[in-house]
Amino acid sequence: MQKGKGKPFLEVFASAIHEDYRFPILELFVFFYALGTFALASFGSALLTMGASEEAVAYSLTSSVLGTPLFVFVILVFKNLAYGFGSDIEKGVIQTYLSYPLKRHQILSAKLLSAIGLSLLILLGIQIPALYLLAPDVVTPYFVVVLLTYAANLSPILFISGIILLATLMLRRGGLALVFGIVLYFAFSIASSMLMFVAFATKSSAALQIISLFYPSTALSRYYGMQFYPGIGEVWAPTFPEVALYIGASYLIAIFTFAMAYTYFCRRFSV
Amino acid sequence: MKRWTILLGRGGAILIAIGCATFLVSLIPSATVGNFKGNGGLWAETWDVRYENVLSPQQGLSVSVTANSTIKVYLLEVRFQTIYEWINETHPHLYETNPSQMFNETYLTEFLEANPQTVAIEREIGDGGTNFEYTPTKVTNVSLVFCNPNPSFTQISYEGYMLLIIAPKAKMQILSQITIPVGFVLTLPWIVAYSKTKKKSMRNF
Repeated sequence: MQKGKGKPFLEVFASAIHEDYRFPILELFVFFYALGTFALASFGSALLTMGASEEAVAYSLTSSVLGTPLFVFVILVFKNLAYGFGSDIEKGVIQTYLSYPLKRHQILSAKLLSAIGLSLLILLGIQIPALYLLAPDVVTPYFVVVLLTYAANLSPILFISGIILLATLMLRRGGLALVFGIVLYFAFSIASSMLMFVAFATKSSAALQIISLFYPSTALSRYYGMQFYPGIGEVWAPTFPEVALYIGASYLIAIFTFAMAYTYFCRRFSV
Repeated sequence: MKRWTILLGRGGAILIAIGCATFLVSLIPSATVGNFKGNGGLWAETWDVRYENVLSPQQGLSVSVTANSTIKVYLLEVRFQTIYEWINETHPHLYETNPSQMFNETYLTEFLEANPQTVAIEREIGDGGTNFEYTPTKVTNVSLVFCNPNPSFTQISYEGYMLLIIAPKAKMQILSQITIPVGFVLTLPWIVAYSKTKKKSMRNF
């Protein structure tokens, strides 16, 4: 960032935070994330899986706390991106920001830092210490597994968020973009479940590999031997480098959608 | 209102939210999901495992033991089979010559000296008894081991419950006791500034 541009950037960032997290939205989310982590944490599958490795236990525990909180995270991010950013466009707030001595990509970065960055910080900042409190000897030695589980589960959300951002910029209407995002999220979840069944029915690993490109948690769960269908282990058992590759590829896809949104905002977007 | 006041205030409100959540979690009672009990004796200078299970950080164990003489009670984070195999490997001819010697106090002491990390709880009880609660910090095997160091037979009686807990109560209480007051202190300037702004706007109205 160039010298002297920090303050306008912080102004836009502070204004975005003020709009995205009005009192007591942030506090309520923190409360439910903290409560949800303890209420949803389960070692059940780890105990049921005879001879499960300690890594698999760390994966299983982290996955157990991600279910509902991740859906809540999706709502918060979609609301901030589509509704928050969309209403800024509709009300002409973006026009005011464009008059600031800031480049367009900096304005978008400040908005995204508030909409996605802070939401992510709340989720991880609450859940990881809560997991540590619950099971320090599971989280500490396998912290990489915990982070990997979060990374695998967050990439599809970031991918859809990128599409929502692009849709918001193109449609210029927050409400419509929000509906589009929710429909897209469910469509992807349904398609993923259907492909999973196809993989099980045809005993083909190709369907699972396609899902893993968008939902790398599928590859990670297979790596740790979690069975969503009986006998699926015989269909596909990825190695760790393969899992890392799928996680990397899914983030590349997510980065590509955001890059498109940035390009559109910087070059084509007109108020 | 100054920005740092808002920042501190919101930070404090977040701490209060965390404190309230952990306090609420600490209020959830534990549930008893299984029990075990037994009476019996231990021959002089021997040890024995009377209970073993697999526990997770959401499963605790509450145990009470009484004996008519001084005995040692251990809760070990290991299976009985592991202790048995270790002794067998360390003293390979023991099983062939006299298998009952496997339960000699000396071999348990050797095992504990070689594997001190397996000891979760160690108690020495006299004529009275002892009670303890244990919650592991990882998914682990646990074995309740009694060791009689006396040169005579000792009568023991034990009873235990497996508890299902949502989170470690003590940790939750400590966390809420810290975060709520700290959060309240941090929010004070924000609340004061907010009430002043409100008063001013009321006066202007």
